[in-house]
This record gives sequence, C-alpha cells and structure tokens, in this order.
Amino acid sequence: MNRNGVYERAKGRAARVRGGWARALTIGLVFLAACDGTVTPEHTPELVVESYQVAGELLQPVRLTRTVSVNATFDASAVGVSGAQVRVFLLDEAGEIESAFPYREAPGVRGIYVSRFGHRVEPLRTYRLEITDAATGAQLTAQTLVPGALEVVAAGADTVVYQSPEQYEVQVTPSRYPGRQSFYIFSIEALDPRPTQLTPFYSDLVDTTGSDVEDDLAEFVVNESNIINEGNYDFNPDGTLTVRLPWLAVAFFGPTRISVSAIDDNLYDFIRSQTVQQRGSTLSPGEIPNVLEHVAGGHGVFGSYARVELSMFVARPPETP
Amino acid sequence: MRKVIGWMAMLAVWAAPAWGQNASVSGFVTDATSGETLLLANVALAGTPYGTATNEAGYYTLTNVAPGAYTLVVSYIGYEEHRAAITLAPGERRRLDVALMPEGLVFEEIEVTAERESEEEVRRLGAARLETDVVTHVPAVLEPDVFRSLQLLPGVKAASDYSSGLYIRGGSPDQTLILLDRTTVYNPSHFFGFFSTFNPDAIKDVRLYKGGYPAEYGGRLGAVVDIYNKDGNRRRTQGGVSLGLLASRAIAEGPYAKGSWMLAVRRSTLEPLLAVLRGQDIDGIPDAFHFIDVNGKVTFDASVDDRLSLAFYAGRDRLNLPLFADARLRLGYGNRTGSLNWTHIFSQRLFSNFTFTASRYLSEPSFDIGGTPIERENTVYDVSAKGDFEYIPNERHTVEGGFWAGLFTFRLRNRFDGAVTLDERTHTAYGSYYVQETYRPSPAWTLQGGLRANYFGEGQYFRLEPRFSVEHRPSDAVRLQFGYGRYYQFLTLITSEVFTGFDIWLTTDNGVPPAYGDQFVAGVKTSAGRGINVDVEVYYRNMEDLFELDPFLPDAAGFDYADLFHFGEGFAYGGELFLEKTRGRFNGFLGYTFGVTRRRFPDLNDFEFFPPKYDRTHELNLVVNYDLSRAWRLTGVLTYATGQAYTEPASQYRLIDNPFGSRRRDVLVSPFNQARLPAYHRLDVGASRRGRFFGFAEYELQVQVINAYARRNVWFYFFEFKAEGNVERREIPQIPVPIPNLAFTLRF
Repeated sequence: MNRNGVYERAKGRAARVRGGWARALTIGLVFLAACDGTVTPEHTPELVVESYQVAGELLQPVRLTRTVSVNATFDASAVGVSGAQVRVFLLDEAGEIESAFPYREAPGVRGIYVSRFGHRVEPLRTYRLEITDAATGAQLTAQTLVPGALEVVAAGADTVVYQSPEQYEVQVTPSRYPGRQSFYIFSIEALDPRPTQLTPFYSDLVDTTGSDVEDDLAEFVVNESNIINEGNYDFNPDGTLTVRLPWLAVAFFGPTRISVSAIDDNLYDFIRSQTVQQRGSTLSPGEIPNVLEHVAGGHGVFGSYARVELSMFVARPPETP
Repeated sequence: MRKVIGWMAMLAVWAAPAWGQNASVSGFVTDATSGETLLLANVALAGTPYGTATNEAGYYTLTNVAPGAYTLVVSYIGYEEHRAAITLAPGERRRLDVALMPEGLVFEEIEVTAERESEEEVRRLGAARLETDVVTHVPAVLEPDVFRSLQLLPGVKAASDYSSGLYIRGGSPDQTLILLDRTTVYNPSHFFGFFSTFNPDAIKDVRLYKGGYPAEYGGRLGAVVDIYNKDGNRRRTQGGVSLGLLASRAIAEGPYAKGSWMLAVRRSTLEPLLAVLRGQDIDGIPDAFHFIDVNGKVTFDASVDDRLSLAFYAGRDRLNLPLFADARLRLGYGNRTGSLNWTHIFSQRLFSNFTFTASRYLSEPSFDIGGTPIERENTVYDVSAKGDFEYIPNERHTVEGGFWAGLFTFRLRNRFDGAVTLDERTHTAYGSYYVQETYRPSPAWTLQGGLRANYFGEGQYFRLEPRFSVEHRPSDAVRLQFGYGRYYQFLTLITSEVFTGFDIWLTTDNGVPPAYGDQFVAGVKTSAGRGINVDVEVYYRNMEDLFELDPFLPDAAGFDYADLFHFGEGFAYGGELFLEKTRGRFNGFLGYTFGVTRRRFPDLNDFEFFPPKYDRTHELNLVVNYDLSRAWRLTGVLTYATGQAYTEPASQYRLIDNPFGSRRRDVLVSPFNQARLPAYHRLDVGASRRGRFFGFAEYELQVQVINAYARRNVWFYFFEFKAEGNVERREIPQIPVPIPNLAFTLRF
C-alpha cells in the first residue's frame, strides 16, 4: 500500500468521524441548552417600616411604606401606607408592657406616624413596635434595646488643619450594650457644603461641572463612616474612650458638625448587611444576600441609637489650592 | 519522631529477607533525550500478570517473579515502547533502568499506532493527568497556564474568564491542595488571579486527584493538584526563550558530573504598554505593575540508590495604582517555596522518599485614601518534614506509609489610620501519619485501604481519615472502580473571585472545628484501542462544619476569633464523561460534566440550601488538535456550560430618613442565587508552526484567538439604584471580544 493511499483513507475516515462528532455535539448542545432553566422571582408587596429611636430624646416618627417591584419606579410619596394602627410599647425586664404610646398619622404626609405623647426614650430599655395595616389586616412587629448613653468628656481643638499629624480626637464615656461591645458610627456634617470646599479625594468623586452637581454634593453633606467596633480603641485609665476622626471621613473644608452614635443590634445587622448588598464582600459578584432584618411581618428597621455631637472647623492645609 | 524511627526500623527488617527463591526487577524509567524521570509509566512482563507503574520518583519494582526468561515492556504515552529480553535467575534482584525515546511526528503514525498493541495507562479513581504539551498548546488568554488547562477537564470548573481558580467537584478553590515538588503553595496566582503561578516551561508533570484521593494526601476536603518541576536535562545543556504578549519566559537546563540542574524565569513585560497608556492620560493605569516567578532545581545522584534534589520557587506580584486624586492602592503578594528531597532505595522491596519543605505566602495590600492609610499584612509560613515509604513484599501486596509534620505560622494584621485594628497570630504544630495497603488477590482485583491520622495544634484537633478503594478488571480494557474517603480541612481561604491579591488564609482554633466531608466515587474506565479511552465517573460528597469569614462582618476588632466566622454545610454530586483520543494526527478529548453543588449558612437564604455562584449543572469541553503536517498544528477548544447561579432581585425598598448620613439606604429583596445567567459558550482556536531557526535552534510560532466568535458571556449583573426611583441592571461581561495571542518560542 502506498503512502498516499494510506493518507487518503485516513483522511476519509477522519472526516466521517468528525462529521459524526459534529452531529453528536450539536444534538448535545441543544439538549443541554434545553436543560438550562432560569427562575424569574415574583414580587409580592410587603410592609416596610423605618424608625430610629434616640436615647434621651422624644419618641421619633415611624415611616410605613411597601416594597415595590424591582422593575417598577419607587416613589416615596406613593408607597406610603395610610390608615395603619401604630403603637410603641415600653417593656419591663420580663418583657411585659410597662407603658403604651399610640401613634397617629401626621397630617399631610402619607405613611408618616408620630407619637401622641412626649415620651423620652430611655437608654438600656426595650421598646416594641406593633403595626396593623388597616387595608390588609397584616401585622408587623419589631423591638429594640436602646444603647446606653454616651457623653463627651473632652474634645479636640476647635480648628484642625486637614491631614495634619494631629487628628481630631474626642474623649467620650463609652456607651454600653448588654452582651456585647459597642458599635459606633461617625457622621461628619458639612455646614458649608459648596463645591469649592471639597477636599481633594471627594473633589475627584464629584463632577463639579456637571448638571447633577447638587445631587452629587448632597451625597457627601453628611458623610457616614462604616461601623467601627469599640475594640478599635483603647480605654483610658479613667474608663473613657478616645476616638480619632479619620481624615477619609472629611469631605468638605469649613465648619463641621461631628456625631458619634452607638447603635443597637437592629441597626448593626441592617447596616452591615445592606452595605454588603451595595458594596460587596467576600461573596462572589452577583450573589446578593438579603439584609439582616429584625422585623416580623414585613421589612425595614426599627432601631435605636445614642449620640453625642460636637462642632469644629476643618482648615485647609497651606499647600491646598 | 520515635514513631518514625520505629517505622523505618520495622520496614528495614521487612526489607531484609528475600521471600523464597523468586526474583525481582526494579529501576528508574527516564526520558532518553533528557534523563527526566517518567512518572506513572507502565512496566510489565509480557504474557504474565506481572505489571506495575513507576511512582512519583519514576521508580518501579516487580517482585516475586518466578525465575525464567521474560520480555520487559515499558510504555508511556508519547514515547516509543521499550522491550527488553531478560532472564531472571532464582533469587536474583535485577536493577534495570530504562530510557524511553519520545515519539516523533510522522504521517505514517496513523497506521503504525493502529497496528500497535494498545498502551495501558495507570488510571486511578478520580485521577487525571495533564500533559505539559497540552498546557503550552491549548489556546490561552495571553499566556499558557496550567490551571486554565486543568479547567478543561471534566469535574473542574472555572469561576470566570478572569479566574484561574480551580472549582473541583463542587468544592471551592481552598478545598484543593496545591503541591509543587511536594511543597504546599498557598496562593498559586498571578495578575489578580488571571494566571496560576506555574511556569509551563519548568513543569514536568501535573497530576490531579479530583476526589477520593488516597491516604498519602490530606489536609483538604476535595482534591489534590500535584505538580513536579523538571529535574533538568541529564544528557545535554539546552535552553529556550519564549516571547508573549503579556510575559516572556526563559529556561536553561543541563547536566553536570553528579546530576542535573534547571532554572526557569518568567516575567511580565507590560511596562512599555503601560508607559504608552500613561502618556495618553488614560485613567486607571498603574504607576507600576509586574509579576515574576523563578523556578529552579538541582539534582544530585549520590549513589545508585540515593538521589537528592533541591528545588525552589519564588513568585511575586507588585502593583502601584492611583485610584483617584489623593487615593492609591499598593499591593505586593507572592509565594516562596523550597524543598530538599532525598530518594533512597533501601532495597528492591523498600523505596523511600524524604522531603524537607518550606513555604511562605505574603500578601500586603494597602490603601491610602484621603490621608487615611488602610493596611493589611497576611503571612503564612509552613515548614515541614515528610517521609514516604513503599514496601512491596510480593506481587500481591504493596504497603505504603509515611508522615508529614511541620510548623504552621499564620499572621493577619489590619491597621486603620495608623492603629492596629486586628492582630491574629497562629503558631502551631501539625502532623499526619498514614498507612496504606494495596492488595491484589488476582490480576483482576485491586483493593486499597488506608488510614490517615491528622493532628492540628491550634484547638488540639486529632482526626482519623479512613480511605478505601476497589478496582475490578473484567477484561484488559475495562476497569470498574469504587472509592470512599473521609477528609478533614484545618484551613479556610478568604478569597475574592475578582481579585486574589487580597486572599487570606485562616485556621481552625478553639470554637472553630475543622471542616470535614465524606466522598463516594465510582467509575468505569475503558480503553477502546487505538489510543481511545472512555471514562465515566459519578460522585457524591458532603461537607460539614464549613467555616468561612462572616461576609457581613464590618469590623473584626474586639471579637473572639470564633465570632469572625459563619459555619455551614454543603453537598455535591455529579457525573463525568471523559472521551480521549491520544494518538493520530487528529487527537484531543471531550469532557462532559453533570454537577450539582449546594451550601447553606444560617445568615444566607434563611438557612436553606442554595447553589453557590460556581455551580454549573452542565459543562462540555471539546479540545481537538489536528496535525496538518510535521510543521503545522491546528488547535481548537469549545466550551459550553450552564449559566452560573446569581441573585435576581424581586422587590426593592428604600429607607429615606437615614440618621447617620446623606445617602438613602436602598434595599433589594431577593431569593438568593435562584436565577441563572445565560449559558456560557466560547470557542478558542490556534495554529502553531514549528521549524528550524537559522540552523541553530528549534522555533515555534503560535497564533491564537480566544473567543473566536465574540460571544458576550455574562460575568455577573450589577443592580444600581437610580435617583429616578428605578433599579438599573447592568451587565458585566466576561471576555467580550476576540482576543488575539501571539507567542514565539526558541529552543536551543
């Protein structure tokens, strides 16, 4: 047998094999594609509560809305739930009702409920929220343990130079929370939030020449830190904590109000999980967990916090234009 | 240590007497052109039931052979079969080292191989082997890569086009033990995870145990990738350079009086491109970026029965990236490994191998944002000693045993704004011992039972891992296999599919027990002749006490170590088909995988089982090579896979009265990972030409196109809340356009 004959036979056989493989592969791919089902999630409207009680302050409003489809447009004024029965209870140590505080719907604002009584929220006490939706009869309940109050013992200089070695420090009595360390959030509110007052990092994030400059600026007027554990700070010999303001949190030069808030479990879980939804974590991209909520019969948060506030001035360093 | 000495003494005593007057034959099998040992080569006495395979050192032993005349047949895929007539006298212990000649590429090969007796490859349950030739010829994105090639095998999946991570039989990448010259490599990736660290030029052998792996391995729930560097050419000094679009490689190897040496270097060569891009004021271009790795090995033949080798690997990535004005990311990460290996043949019946290993992983990302430094330092030091013994009293029994003991040091330190916010350090001893018996009551049956004992000092965990497998061969062409094993894992990897430079290893401790799982594997492996093999395997595995860093943890400061984790469980099952054609001008393989994997954690999906992102129900890979001529080869890779799991939101709500900041809190309500991305498919093609380069070198030019028909596969969806009240779904694609690749290699 000559070499060409062998080669031609081999070519013919290889072509038949390839043709068979191609058919089998095509059939296989069609079969596999048919097996690849997807699930389209269905939206069911549910109640959403939003309320933040503050230690030492009067009972705060309750906002009641509903979820909307992810494909719909969220309109805050349209999703408010009217006509609900809203009550807040102060519970004793046994979990029994000690006092009841009925709410009424605020006039002219759909879905906002305010307390009928001027009760001041007590630190380290538990409050329970009960809502009945008049339209559906659905019930929503949640409760919060209010963090212990914290106080400012000493504050830093009234004026600090941005990114100078001496950072702004506040000495506070620590908040307390049963069974765990305290969790804090810093809020830095710019009292003169003009585009020209932006610090360099934030100036790069905001397009000061665009039409949306006001909206972009508004995002940073009150700049919020991540949750910071008490374990980050050393206790002073007198039992107080000295906390430092990271320069990263300062978005504007000029007059600034600083708040340090100790948060309850509801806010801690809600904020940390909502942050994962928006900014990701160790989960793979595309994996979006639901937020950790402590609301029965609906969504949202009924939380509480204790807060102190200070004012200071952030001066430009000499070399900053 | 006393146990080890006792072991050795016991085995030495066993090794001393000859069993009756039967003979034995043993030796190394090597490549005739380079002297490289060949692992898992087949050795048999023709016409008898005597047969075996070379071990990890390329050594074989046939014992208890009746005196007489035989034909010793040694075969290995890609090499000419070697036949030698031998006559064994009563009680003779013949040392016979065999050198195999590589096959050449000839047209007549089609007919020649058709006439040839089919080769028998040792194929263990759950095992696969990757030829380095496949690694260098499969079309690759910018750079040939070992792990990318492994991802083509059934049961092995990729997370995305951008990730070289190995997701094997439903396991995450940390469930696979990665060994380089018997040394653990903790972060085998470069270029944000795009490539593995293993330079294909430097590698001799890549073996993958997808599951049900034997007692000699341990420490991971799922799989083992066992990689060996080349020893270096023992016949002549040679070298090679390869120029690619992303990186360039160089290798030199050769003999010396008492052994061989090898040195391989690979470095990224992106600096000129980055300089051009920076000159055009394009955002996001790093001020500095490179990766480099160096592999080296020296072998020393101390005597005919003693071989030593010293191997090392060092690799590092560096990145300096301006993010915005007044913000910058600096990142350095990499691995260093070293191993000193001593292979000693006590006798023809007792083979041993001792290794001292050291491995270091370092990751140091730091951000400086708006004057606030955020720094992390994660280091892993692993120093260990290993010993493996193989005792073959007769043709029915093989007893293996060994130890692996070491010190593991882990440190994770976070700093925020100059203050240490987390400082965890683990410094612990660990050890494992195993014994394994392989019993062959007849040529048709092989039973293997083993037990591995593990100790991990942190938390003082002691665990036993039984292993068992059975193989029945009703005919020469068919193997029926079943295996079971229990596996423990004392480490967990905190990794991001997006960027592996921030990877962190964490360990068990008090309150953090080791994860464990059972694996059941069954398979049918057939050889249809003419180099065609068809394998089918099915598996089921569970995973208990999985511990992962709590994904919702915003700040670890002040927490007990156990509180950093969430604990869960999982399971996986599936089936794999592997159709392989190893000979002829038209060769390649087809792999199909049906796989299901699920996890559940208390804080995800209401503690119900969910599919992780890397779950793919179906996956099909077709790899074909066609040799047009001696010089030209065409290669194609077609991949089809079920779309990955993802979360498609159903509802949204927005909290408007945020008391801590200006931004509203936008919330999605979703069934977790219950939707599927569109199916993934991609075609890669390539052509290569080999020839002489001005008479002094061999050259190879490779031209490849990745994603030849521009399939726009989806990596994930990103859901963005718009100020207008709607939620916009944005598609983040995988490699969306055809990517050309060009490489030129010289070997001299």
